[in-house]
Amino acid sequence: MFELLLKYKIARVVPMQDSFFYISKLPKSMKFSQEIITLNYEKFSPFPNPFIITYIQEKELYAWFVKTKGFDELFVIPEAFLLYDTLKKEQDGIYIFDTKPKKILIIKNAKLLASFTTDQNSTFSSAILKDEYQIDSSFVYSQEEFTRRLSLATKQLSFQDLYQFTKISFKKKDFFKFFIEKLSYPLISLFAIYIFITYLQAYLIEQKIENLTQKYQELKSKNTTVKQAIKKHNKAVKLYEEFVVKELHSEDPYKCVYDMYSVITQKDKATINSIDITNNSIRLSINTHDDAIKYLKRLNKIKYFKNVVIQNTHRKRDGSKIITFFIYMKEN
Amino acid sequence: MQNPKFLFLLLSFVLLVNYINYMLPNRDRLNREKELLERKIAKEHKLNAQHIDSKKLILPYKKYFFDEKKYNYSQAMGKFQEIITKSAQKQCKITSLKWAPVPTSQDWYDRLKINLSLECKPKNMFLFINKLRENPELFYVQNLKLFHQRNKTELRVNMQLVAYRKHHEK
Repeated sequence: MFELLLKYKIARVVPMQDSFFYISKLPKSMKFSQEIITLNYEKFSPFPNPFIITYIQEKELYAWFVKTKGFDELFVIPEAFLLYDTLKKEQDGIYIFDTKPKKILIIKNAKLLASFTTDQNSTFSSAILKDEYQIDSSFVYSQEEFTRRLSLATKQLSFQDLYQFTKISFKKKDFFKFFIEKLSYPLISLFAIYIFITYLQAYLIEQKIENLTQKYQELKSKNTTVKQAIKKHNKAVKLYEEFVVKELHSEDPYKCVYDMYSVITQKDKATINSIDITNNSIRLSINTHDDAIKYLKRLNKIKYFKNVVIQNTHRKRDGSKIITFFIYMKEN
Repeated sequence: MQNPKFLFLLLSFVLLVNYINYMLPNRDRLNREKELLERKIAKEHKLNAQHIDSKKLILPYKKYFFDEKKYNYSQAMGKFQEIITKSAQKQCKITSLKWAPVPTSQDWYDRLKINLSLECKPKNMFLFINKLRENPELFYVQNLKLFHQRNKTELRVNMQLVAYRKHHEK
């Protein structure tokens, strides 16, 4: 995100050589207004009327004095802070970047103790700094490493850190002024773009709908005859289906008669006396010398017979019997 | 308040609010309408691609009914009786033939009922019904009664024959 702010000149990085670093201890972690900072810390600046960038980390206040009246950008971040941000998790030491001019950062206990630049030609002794800050190690980095670390810092800069470097004062009056001055044209443009895009979108969809409607009407008129025929066909199918269910629901009596005749074979000494088929019930009389159960079993084998019962058995003078079966048929 | 930027912003905001409230096209509705049309077109395309012959959609069931256009009730019953007597010729002896009362059904068809009594040999009974069913019209047998007559080789057959007369579409 910070890269985008830099790209669109909403943020600025102040080079180390243009700033003077000062560290101060605070009694407790607190926030200061720009006025309080100027009042308290301006006297430590080597420049008159400096622009002061501050960063508070726990009970430490880091201040960078810049020899300018102000910046147009909303976020102003010292280069030293970006480098410190990439180095603070590493070991204590004097970090020297071999750039033009040389950039030196002193970090101890993850705190930035000093940051300054020296000329390439100046006689610089890290031994003095080691003594002064009681640090044993020093590291020298190349120009490439400097560029890499700076790029890394711009990528991983947290939102909280960025917030500390904002120039926006959230006082009601200032905010309103800022809002009007900085955001009115972008907002108006956004409104205009929104109106244009939504209107254009709707216009294009309406055009598409118009074309589709025309195409649909053409196709519809092509299929009218077939559709009417299908409608008529479906109506007829429904009617005939209802007709079959209502009228032709029971088994064909002639089929029943045929199947019942097949119950008696030529070997059996039996004749059918009468058959009465009314709706879904059958009364069948057989004249025979045989046992009724034999015919009962055969009748039960006919698939569409649901219940077959022997209604009565009447013995005749000649010794034969008239057996009457009552049969219920399954409904189709 | 005298800042022209502010006034311009305010005016734009008023314009935007009014646009959203009164002029903003309902793009969701338009999209739904578009999708619906696309679905309908796809359906029409599918139907069109099937090349359906509408003549093939006419059901061949008309012939199973006596047509109201051709026969009024009495004529239909007369035709029905004629078919029965023709079918029974040489097969069975018709001993009784009785027309059922005029139907009062509000359906799209009338039931034409004839109560019939026949005397015939068992085999001829089947030949009679086969002959009857050679006609295109639908004949449905109801309440069939068969019984053996004393001292006679022929069976006594009572049945109710039903045919159907289709009302013409209005």
